[in-house]
Amino acid sequence: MTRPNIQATVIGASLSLLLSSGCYDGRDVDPEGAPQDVADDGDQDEDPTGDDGVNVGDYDVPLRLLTRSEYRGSLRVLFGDEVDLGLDLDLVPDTVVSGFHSVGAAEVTVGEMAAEKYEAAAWAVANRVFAADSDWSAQMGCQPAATLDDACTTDYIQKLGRLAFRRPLTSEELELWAAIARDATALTDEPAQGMATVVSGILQSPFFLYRVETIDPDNASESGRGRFDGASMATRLAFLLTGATPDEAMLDRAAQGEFDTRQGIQDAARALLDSDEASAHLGEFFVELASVDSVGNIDKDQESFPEFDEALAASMLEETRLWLRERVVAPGTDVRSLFDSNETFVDTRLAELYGLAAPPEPGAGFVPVALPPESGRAGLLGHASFLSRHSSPHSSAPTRRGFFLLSAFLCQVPPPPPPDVDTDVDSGEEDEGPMTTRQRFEQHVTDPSCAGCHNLMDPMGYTLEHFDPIGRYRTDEHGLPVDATAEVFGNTVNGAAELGAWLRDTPMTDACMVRNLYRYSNALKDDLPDIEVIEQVAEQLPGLDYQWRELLVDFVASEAFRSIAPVP
Amino acid sequence: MLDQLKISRRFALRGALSGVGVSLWLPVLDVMCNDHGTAFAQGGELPTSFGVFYWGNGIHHNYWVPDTMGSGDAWQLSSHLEAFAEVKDYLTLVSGTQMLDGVFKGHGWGVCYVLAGGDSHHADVTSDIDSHPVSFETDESTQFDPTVDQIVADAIGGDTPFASLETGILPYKGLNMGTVSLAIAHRGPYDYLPPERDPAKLFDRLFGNIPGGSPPPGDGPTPSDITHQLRRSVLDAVLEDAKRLDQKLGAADSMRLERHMESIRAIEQRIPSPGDNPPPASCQVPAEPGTIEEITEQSQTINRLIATALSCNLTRVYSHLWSGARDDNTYPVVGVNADHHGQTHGNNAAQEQAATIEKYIFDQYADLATVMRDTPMGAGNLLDQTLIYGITEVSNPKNHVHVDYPITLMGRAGGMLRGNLHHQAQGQKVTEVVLTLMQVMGVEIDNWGTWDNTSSIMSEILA
Repeated sequence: MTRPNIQATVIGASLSLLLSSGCYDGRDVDPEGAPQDVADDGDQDEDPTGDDGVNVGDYDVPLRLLTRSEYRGSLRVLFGDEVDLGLDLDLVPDTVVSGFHSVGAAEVTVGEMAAEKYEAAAWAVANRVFAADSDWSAQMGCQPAATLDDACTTDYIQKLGRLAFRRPLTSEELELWAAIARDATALTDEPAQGMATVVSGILQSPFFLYRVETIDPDNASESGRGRFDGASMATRLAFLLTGATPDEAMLDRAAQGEFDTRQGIQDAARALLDSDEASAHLGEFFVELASVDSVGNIDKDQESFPEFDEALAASMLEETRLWLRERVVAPGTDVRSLFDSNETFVDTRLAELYGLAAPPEPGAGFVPVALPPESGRAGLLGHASFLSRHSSPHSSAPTRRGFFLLSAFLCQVPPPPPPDVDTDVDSGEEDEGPMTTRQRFEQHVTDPSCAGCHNLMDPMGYTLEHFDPIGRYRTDEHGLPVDATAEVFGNTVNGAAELGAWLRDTPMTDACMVRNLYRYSNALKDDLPDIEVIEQVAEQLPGLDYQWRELLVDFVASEAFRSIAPVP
Repeated sequence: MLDQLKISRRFALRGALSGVGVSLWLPVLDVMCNDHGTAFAQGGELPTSFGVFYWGNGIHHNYWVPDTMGSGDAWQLSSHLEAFAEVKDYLTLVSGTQMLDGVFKGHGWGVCYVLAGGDSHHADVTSDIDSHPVSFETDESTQFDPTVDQIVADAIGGDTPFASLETGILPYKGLNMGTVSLAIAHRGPYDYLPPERDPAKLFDRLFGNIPGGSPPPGDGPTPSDITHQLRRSVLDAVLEDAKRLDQKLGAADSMRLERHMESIRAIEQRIPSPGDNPPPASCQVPAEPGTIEEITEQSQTINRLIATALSCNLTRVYSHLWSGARDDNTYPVVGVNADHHGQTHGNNAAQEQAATIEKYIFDQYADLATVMRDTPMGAGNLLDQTLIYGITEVSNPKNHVHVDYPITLMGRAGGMLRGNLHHQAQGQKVTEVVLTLMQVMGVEIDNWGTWDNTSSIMSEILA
């Protein structure tokens, strides 16, 4: 007996919720819960930002620029941990689209300033690795001739080029870069400068800065999907699981054809997951999903929240990163701890913010703590990073919080408000006497044309009302008691911990997490065309005891990751 | 003619490094002018330039709109515009415009309307910009059409080292509004040019020439021709790689790669080469700014760098993003410790706080204008030759009002604008103003705007 079809149950359920709630009125609702214009059916092909990608004609693989973090991570693979780059590389910030840096990286273009910064970063790194007064030949593993016209030089260029471009250099390319090395050495009379010049070029090459992924024409799936070739699978696995370009071992596996089989992919994935890089990187998916990496980008009203500063915002983010790594995506952990973990990590300032007894000494860094039930905190919903990021500068913004929870964790995006409505009900202090935030919001949502959607969004937000705009616990506002009880999808929920327990148990979050993983890992705005393969992966979660690493091993070997449907 | 004016940045750099480049805000071009200072001695006209000064969150109209209208002494400055007293001769206010098409829905809409004439991807104005199925916030907002500065840059930016120059002050704070709040300059969706906000980095972009502080080969601290040669050989190799990659790409990604390579070619052209013309002696590079934390000093320094870039003819198009659409920065510099956008939706006291912020922003805009007025060009000054489109995404921000945009134009564009004018353009569209500005700058375009498309020119503001 198979599990019920998620699309039919979960996604269908969300459709009926949106409709029965009266939330939507005026436009059709996509069967998968996403609002779209009635006449929009064929529109995906006309998206002016849609990429027709590599492999013209058959498949539509997004061409992805490295994110800033992928660029930095890849430098470690190229030059090793032992080279202290010691550089604060100044690259143009990533563009976040549909919640993810990767999706933005498949959309953006490199303007002049971005290209200048790539040039500056490339020369800075190259001159650091090949500083004339350093033991730079150690990087090459051999002592090249002073003129750089020898095998030591070409061997190193081939080795570095293969790591940087994620494929062997062609003989034409090798000769081009070797000539640059020779010419630069002749010009400067300094072989270190010759090598630095080559390295600077390789780091600026589009073959390094973009992930070029191609389909193996000889390895189509039974259903006609195009499977990525070995080098592309090495690339996809390494970036997804370690946040960096594949190392030599991965490229060797690719060359041996190991990624042509499901077993080979899973073996490689397990090897990667055992690395320190994977431990440091896996949580980043959830960091982006929760948008907490931009917590420092929300200023708080300094009169009401003078303690909110850059350092506190950085502590908040660090708490979430540490906790994700150790308590959510660690080996053997149930990923649903995301919603109900009662453990976390705090430094002095966070312990004070959370009102914990016996905070760590200043300078002691982060220590693990168990959160008492009276803290009201559970999982991510109790993290100051999440609560601050999803608040306004002066208000706990329950609509915003509810909207985000619905969108990010239940994959239900309420439609935009009707035209000509002042959506800024969140207006700070009004002149009509003390009210709680919730009372103010409830007052504004009496209009029946608004109530439909707000009745879907706001209750989830209300359950977090015990937390102020910087994530501090409160029992009352202006002397009025906080009411964090609300009806969420037919259940009465009181407070963040009960909401977390509900999110943990509803299968809607399983499916949504995998849908987001699919969009994140494939750099796609839209997951609906592949919803069937996504759903097959999501169905595995209970059988894997909800271990995220096990899910990843399943996911990367599935057609949701290793192949792509042909362009219709 | 302009080719002959290309500045050698090697020279500029030498001046900077040797410490002789003190703040002499002297013009670059006057020595090359005819006796009347109205044109180049060789016969070409003085270059005009186009700028955008943008700030987020609109304006409290009662403080911005003057009580009086007309030209010259017939109208007096409003309280928000007090700081423009010295440059009133160059100021053109257009009040009373409306967004006539469609239904206006907020900051994201407004910024598309005032900078790109709407959004061809949402041409019917019935869906929201952030209506993508999987957008968590509003991060799908991007300019689907090129912004006015880039349209002008395509027409007049080709002869200068920088086709356009993007600067800014406040990093965007608040909800993820997509790229419309991160940059003014867009060439297409997600194809945007972020501003440089750090005066020292801006200085390096304009006048420095060492990539990333890479130590040059050889013995001296001055970058040599050899360094330039090495950079050029690397960039050539990168362009060759791009050609190979391009063969594997479909049309959309091929265009993205082509934009990247355009950027590389622009960088390559800015590398000094022995054949460069010597720069005019009067193009003086200011001292390199140090680390600046204070916002007014940051603003004043960047304003001066913009004026220098123009007077040295490094660019003819500039856009200055004071703050992004729906910005949530606080302004402790004027005693406002609460977020700008939040204040615009607050009670009366909050509204006054927002107005205080607006006044401060206008003071900085006036500083830019005053610096330009004090920068000679030909027989006149930079304001005679330039034209700035001062704009924000909404009018009265509390209800996202889309009538009476506070259009604050500065400069005479080589005599094309009358200046010293408050024109009440009741019932006219913002797109008419922008179309007029583009034509003034020499763009061959006779109608503009996805929303409020127009072919009408606002002749009242022209000389």
